[in-house]
Amino acid sequence: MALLGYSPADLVPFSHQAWLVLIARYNQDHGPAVIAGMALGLLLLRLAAGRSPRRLRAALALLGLCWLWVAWTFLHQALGTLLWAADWLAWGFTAQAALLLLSAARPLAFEETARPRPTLVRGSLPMAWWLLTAAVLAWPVLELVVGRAWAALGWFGTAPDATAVATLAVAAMTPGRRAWLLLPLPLLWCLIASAMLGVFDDALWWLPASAALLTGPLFWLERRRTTTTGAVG
Amino acid sequence: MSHFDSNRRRLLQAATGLMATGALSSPAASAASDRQAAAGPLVKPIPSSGERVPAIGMGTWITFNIGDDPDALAVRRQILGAFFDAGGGIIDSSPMYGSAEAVLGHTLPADARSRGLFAATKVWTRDGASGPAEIETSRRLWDLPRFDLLQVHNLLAWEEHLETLKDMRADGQVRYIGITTSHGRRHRELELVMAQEPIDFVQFTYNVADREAERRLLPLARERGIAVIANRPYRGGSLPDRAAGRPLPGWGREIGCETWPQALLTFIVSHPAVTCAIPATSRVDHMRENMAAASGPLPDAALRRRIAADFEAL
Repeated sequence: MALLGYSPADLVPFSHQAWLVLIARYNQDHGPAVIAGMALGLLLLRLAAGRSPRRLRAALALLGLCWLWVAWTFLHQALGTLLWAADWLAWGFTAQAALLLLSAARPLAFEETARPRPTLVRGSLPMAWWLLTAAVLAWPVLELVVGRAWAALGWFGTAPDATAVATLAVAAMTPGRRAWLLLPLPLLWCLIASAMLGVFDDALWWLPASAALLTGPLFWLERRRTTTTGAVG
Repeated sequence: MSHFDSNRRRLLQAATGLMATGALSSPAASAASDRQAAAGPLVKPIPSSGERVPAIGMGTWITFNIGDDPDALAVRRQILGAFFDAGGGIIDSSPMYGSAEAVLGHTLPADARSRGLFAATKVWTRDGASGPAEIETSRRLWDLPRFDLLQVHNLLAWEEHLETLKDMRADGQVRYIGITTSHGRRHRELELVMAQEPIDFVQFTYNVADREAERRLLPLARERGIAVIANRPYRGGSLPDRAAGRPLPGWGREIGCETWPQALLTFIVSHPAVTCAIPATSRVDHMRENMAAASGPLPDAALRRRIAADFEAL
């Protein structure tokens, strides 16, 4: 399909109302999965705050499963009824799931070098952990604050926006070059989400793009911690 | 000088159209001619056949892409009911519009054909060879035996698709064919297609604020005998938003309009080359308001200029 010459508004063939109804019906149809996603979000916070490198790999694996769920349940099945490009997006999310699961399967650099995980200085949390907390806990609260109905909130693990931002946070915590591979698709989704919400004049249109912009400084900060603690990323 | 055409002139136009067609063969045409005889909403002729269609049609971009939400489906049934109750005819959609075609298939009244439905959709795929399959999918989604009008969407692969559509028209699988664009894009290329290809319809953006088409496309359509569907008549809703809360000047009464949106539609269809405008709405009251447009005398050229100037001054 032709993309050149189209504005964002041309590529979003549904209304804000239809989008919110879609999320509400999706949450209703997949209630247990949404609750499981919330629980996984809390587990992810715990894993990302832990000291063990294996926990970080578990966090990557958990995120991979969430991306797979969002790809085929939210994008392909639900959004596919409204958007011709939903299957392309679903394949993108599937690719990201594969990257996360492959990353989880391989030992992290500081495991191989038997050095302590650089970001786990006792008594402190990685800066990126706060972005992760925002994605898991604050995201739906912000949506609620701007007037969204409870039923139409997007939750970590089952909705794309919060899941993508959480992934950016965990990628920032992940040492090594693999972290760079984990960034492009979540960043791209954040831009798509902001563009779409912008077309809707949604009060939170700026939020996904802002989270994406925040990833740069977080990456730098986390790698600075890596350097100062002497660990190899 | 009078600011409007007389009803007498419109009736004369109707009679001329009927003579031009000889016999109106389709149910849509019959219904349209009946409404005209009963002094209903404005109808205008399709130049290539003389068949007359209601000048206010209906678009489905965004407003009918609602998936399978039962509440929204119920509202769309009411919208379509109001559309046909008011003498509506042309409904335009596209495979690009998500679930809109499927929603039409679920919500069109069973007697839509006999009530004047003029079904128009588009072919929208880069691969010319897959055009027929896409058209067949659209036909099944609409749940119709055939379309009245098939258009190449946004000039995409138009050379290949137009050959397909010409063959379909020759075989009686579709009555009219055309090509579309919107937002003022690719007018030069559209002009070439209009000048060279034997199309019945052309669709592009024309409204009180987007009037570039008046320079070349609308005169060319008249010259070539091509019916014109004006899309984005409200520019995605921004034009009525701009006029919200502003009273309609006194000329509104002269043309039978009570609101700015009605005046905006009347402005469009009063252009001699425009056959139909296709506003889209997700509200029943807005559909009724739209369908009440152009039901009075049409503005002449001087009043059209004044409407545009008054809107510009808002």
